[in-house]
Amino acid sequence: MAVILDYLWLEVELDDDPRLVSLLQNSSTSSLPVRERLRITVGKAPDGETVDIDGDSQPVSGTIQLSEIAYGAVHDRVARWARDEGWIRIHAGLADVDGRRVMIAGPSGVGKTTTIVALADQGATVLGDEAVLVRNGQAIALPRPLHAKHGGRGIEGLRPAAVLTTLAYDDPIAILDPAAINRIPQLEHRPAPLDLIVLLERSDGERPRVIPASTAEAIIALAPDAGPFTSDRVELVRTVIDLVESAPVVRLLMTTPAETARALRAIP
Amino acid sequence: MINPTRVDGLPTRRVSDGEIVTTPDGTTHYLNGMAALIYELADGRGVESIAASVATIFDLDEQEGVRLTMAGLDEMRAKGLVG
Repeated sequence: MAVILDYLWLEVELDDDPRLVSLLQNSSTSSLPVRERLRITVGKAPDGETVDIDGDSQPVSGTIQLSEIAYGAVHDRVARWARDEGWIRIHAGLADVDGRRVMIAGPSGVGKTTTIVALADQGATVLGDEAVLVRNGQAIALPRPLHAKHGGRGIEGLRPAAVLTTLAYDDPIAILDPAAINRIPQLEHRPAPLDLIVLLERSDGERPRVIPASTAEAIIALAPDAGPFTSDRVELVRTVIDLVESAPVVRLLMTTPAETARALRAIP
Repeated sequence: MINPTRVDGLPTRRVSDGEIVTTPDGTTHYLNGMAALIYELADGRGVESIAASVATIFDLDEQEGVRLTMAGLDEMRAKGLVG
C-alpha cells in the first residue's frame, strides 16, 4: 500500500517501506495546488538495493544514501516549483509563536532545530526547520521532517514519540515528525505574513541577548544561501531587502534551547 | 580608506529591478540590483566584507566581486550616496 505525502506543489507517493516513510514523513497538508506527482520506491538489485524515482533507478547503499537521494529528489522539485511560482527559498526555520509568524535563521549547526523544538515544547506551532519560501512578505515552510543534530546530548524538550528515525552520521541526525513535535495529528501549511525575523548566533553569555539587526546584517544572514535556488539574483536581492524591511529583524545570542526560546517569545 | 557608509536620510524607493535614491539636490539615481545590494550593505563594514557578500549572492569569483564592488562604491561616492 502506498503512502501519499503533501509537499506543497508536489504530491509524493512512497512505497510503504518504513525507512522511506520515516525519512520523508511530514504529517502535513498544504493549501497549495498540486502541480506534480512523484513516485519513490525501493527496489532489489543483484548486489543490494535501488531507489527508484519516477522510474529512474539508482543503486543505494544504506539508509543515509537512501535519505539523501530520496529527499534530494523531493527538495529539488519543490524548489523548482517554488522558483517557478515566484517564491524565494531562504535557509531558515519557521514557526507560529504566540500568534506571530517567526522566521528563524542562522548558520548550519547553530541550533535552529533545537531552538524550534524548544519553542514547540513551549506551545508554538513549528512549521519547518530547513527552508522558508517567501514572496511579497508572505512565508510558508518547506514541509519536511525536522533534522536535529544532537551530538549525543539528547534534545531538550523532545518527546521520544516524535523521533521517526536517526541517521548515523558522525554527528547523528534525528529525523523528527513535525506533527508529533507540535502534539497535533496533522500540520497544515499555508502562506501568511511574516511578523518577525530572528538571526540566531552562538554566544558565551549566561543569558540570551536580543539585539536589533541592521538591514545589511539581515541580508548577509539570509541571502547568500538562497542564491543556488534562485535563477534571478536581482529578484533575490529585492525580495530579501523587502522582507527585512517589512518585518522586524533581531539577532538573538543563544544560550540553552529553552532559554533561547523564552527570549524569542519575549521579543516585543 | 574609510569604510563605506550610506549617507543618512536619503529617500529610497524600491523598483522591480533595483532602487531609486534621491539626493538633497532633487536628483534621482537609479541603482540596479547589484548596486542596490552594495548600497544596502554599505553600513560601515569593510569593502572586503561587502565584496564577499556580493560575490556569494551573485555567484562571482572573489576578484570579480571586489572589482564590481569597488566600481559601484566609487560611483556612489561620486553621486553623494555613500560617504
